[in-house]
Amino acid sequence: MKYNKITLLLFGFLFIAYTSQAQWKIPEKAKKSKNPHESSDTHISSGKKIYASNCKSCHGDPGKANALLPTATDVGSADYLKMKDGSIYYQITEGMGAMPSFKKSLSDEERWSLVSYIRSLANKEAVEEGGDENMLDKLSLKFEFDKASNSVKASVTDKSGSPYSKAGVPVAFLVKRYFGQMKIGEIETNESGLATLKLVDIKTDEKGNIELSIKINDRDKYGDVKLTQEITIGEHRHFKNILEERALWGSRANIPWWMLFLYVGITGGVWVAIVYVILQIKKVKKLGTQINT
Amino acid sequence: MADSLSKEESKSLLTKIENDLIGPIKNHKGFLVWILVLVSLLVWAGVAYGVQLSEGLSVTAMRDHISWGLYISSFIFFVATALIGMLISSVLGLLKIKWITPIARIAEMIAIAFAMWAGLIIVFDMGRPERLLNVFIHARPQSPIFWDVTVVTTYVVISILLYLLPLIPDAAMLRVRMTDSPKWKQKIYKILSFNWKGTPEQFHVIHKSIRILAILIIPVALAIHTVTSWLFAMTPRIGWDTTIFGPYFVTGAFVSGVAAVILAMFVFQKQYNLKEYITDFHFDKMSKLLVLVILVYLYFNINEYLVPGYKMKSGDDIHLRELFVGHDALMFWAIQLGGMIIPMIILLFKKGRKPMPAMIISIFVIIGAFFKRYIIVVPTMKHPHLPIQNVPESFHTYWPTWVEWGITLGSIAGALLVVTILAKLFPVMPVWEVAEEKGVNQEDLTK
Repeated sequence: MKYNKITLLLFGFLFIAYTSQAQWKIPEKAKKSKNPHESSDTHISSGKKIYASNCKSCHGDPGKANALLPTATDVGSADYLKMKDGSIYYQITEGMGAMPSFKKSLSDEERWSLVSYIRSLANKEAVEEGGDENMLDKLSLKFEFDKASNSVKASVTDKSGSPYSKAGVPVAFLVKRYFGQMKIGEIETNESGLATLKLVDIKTDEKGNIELSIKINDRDKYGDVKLTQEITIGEHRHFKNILEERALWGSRANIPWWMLFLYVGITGGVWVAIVYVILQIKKVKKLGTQINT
Repeated sequence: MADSLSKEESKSLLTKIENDLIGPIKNHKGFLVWILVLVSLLVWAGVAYGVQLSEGLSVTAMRDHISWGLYISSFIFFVATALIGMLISSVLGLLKIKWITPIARIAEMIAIAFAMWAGLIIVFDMGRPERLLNVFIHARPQSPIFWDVTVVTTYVVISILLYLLPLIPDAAMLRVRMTDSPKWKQKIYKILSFNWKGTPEQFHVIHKSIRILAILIIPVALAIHTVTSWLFAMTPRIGWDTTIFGPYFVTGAFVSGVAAVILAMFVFQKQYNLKEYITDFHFDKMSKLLVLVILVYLYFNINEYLVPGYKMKSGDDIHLRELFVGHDALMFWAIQLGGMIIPMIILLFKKGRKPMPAMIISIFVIIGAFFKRYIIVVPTMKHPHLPIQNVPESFHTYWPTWVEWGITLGSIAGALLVVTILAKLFPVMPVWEVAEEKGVNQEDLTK
């Protein structure tokens, strides 16, 4: 029963959303309002985070047309980006139909950061469209570890070795652990082709080494670009290996003394008695022979 | 008593005992049919084992969850049955209970045969038996499995010695009497008689050695089945994680062992015509012993099931409900009632302790004891430690395949074949001890 109600509600919702899709009525005044915040990198990146936690579940990845709710607009599409900042801000603030209002859940600044982020997609797209070249297998990677800042600086270059100046190449950082590679971060490159990750609390082996892999985390676009290298990031450490102790779980060489004594003592004692009895049988034979002679 | 017989009487009595006990060795009536049955079972087991070797253990019903099945159940049953050698010839012997003389060797034969085959069954349970040697090369004395290998081997050796020592005088006698038997047989008698002349010194050495072994085998026998129980009890698995598993297994072992001896007594009495030696009195005594060991075992059963059953701890409850009212309830109650309680009640009546009813009851007890091991091993493995989902249906259930039944029945046939061969080579009773018991003069025995 409970599920039926939920399903009913959902369909009702979808219906309303569908019928009301084309009916955004944005007041002229709202359309004209301007973004009061400067479109800085931090502003955009906070907008990106807010998008991921509040918008992505319905709208999907911007520009990929993979909205999870069929009626939700792809906010990265060229059509959508024709809208003015004020209109986008109004839609986020007021909501309509299936799209909830974010007036109460997001602050004014947060909503504008979303606008900045969405707007930044337009710029990016323009850039990408401008340099509409096939990037598959065109790039390579290298990285270096900076001990002072405890960070790894990855640089994306083209095949000739000069830095790839188009920003936004996603670089993933992975550290080898027992059962595979643990992702410790993903950074997009800047205009110098650099992506820098600070290493926080990464455990090393006994020599202070880790096996670090970096890769461009967009296979479809850039192909398989990956680099793995062992680097020294820490001091020598000493691990206590519990397999080397004398313990029940240890190897045969590491059997606990008490168990060794018990095993050898008991088994040895019994077998001494057995061998004694076998010798007695020999004695019987000998006694028999003596009578013969 | 020895003095009451005159010289002639004593001599003729000894001759009669010798004839009675040696006679059946030469008599082959029905022997070939019996051997044929056993050998065909062994051939079937051989075929099944061939299939298992070429196809792998997947031809058994054992899977990831239930990885110990009929083989391990039979292994415990075999070890359990082998324990009887200790109880009869050692405990009762040291207590100087006289009536065990004619059945001590029967118990010892059962002990040797079943302990030997118990070891083989473990090999049958191995997926890669050609790597058997690795078990010894890489043995870790921390592992209960290694303790088990040690103690089973030791028990087999002591059992063989306990069988051989009282056999020495008999072998010497057979060497004289069986001159018409094939060469290889005479050779065996010659080797095993160890120049026996029956001198007092030789008697003294033999008696002393038997005594040492009789004392030694008690802790070893207790160890063999306690360690076997530890294969289970040393793991924190529901149903096995209990502190009374050692005595629970040992007392259970006496039940199947005593029943096996009663069955063997019946067969030998009829087949070897030994009515004068194995009498109603022996059946009566052994039946009373069976009642005693069932009662002790019942006591441990009550502790094993009532105590956790009263608490019904989560985890335990799934296992116990399956046994009491669930999937395994029929087998569980059939064993508890048909294999223990009802047989015990019948044996309380004098008529129930006559040879025929005692023998039939023993068969029930043995079958019950066999499946009791099954109920200890298999149901607890149906409930893995972790809640595991989406595993194949075959992981949840277990019923042995024809391969497993074939190899198991073959193993039982193999153990019986060992008993049969021993009973065809040597008298099933120590002639000199029986004679001594019956009052034959000492000087007649030493000749």
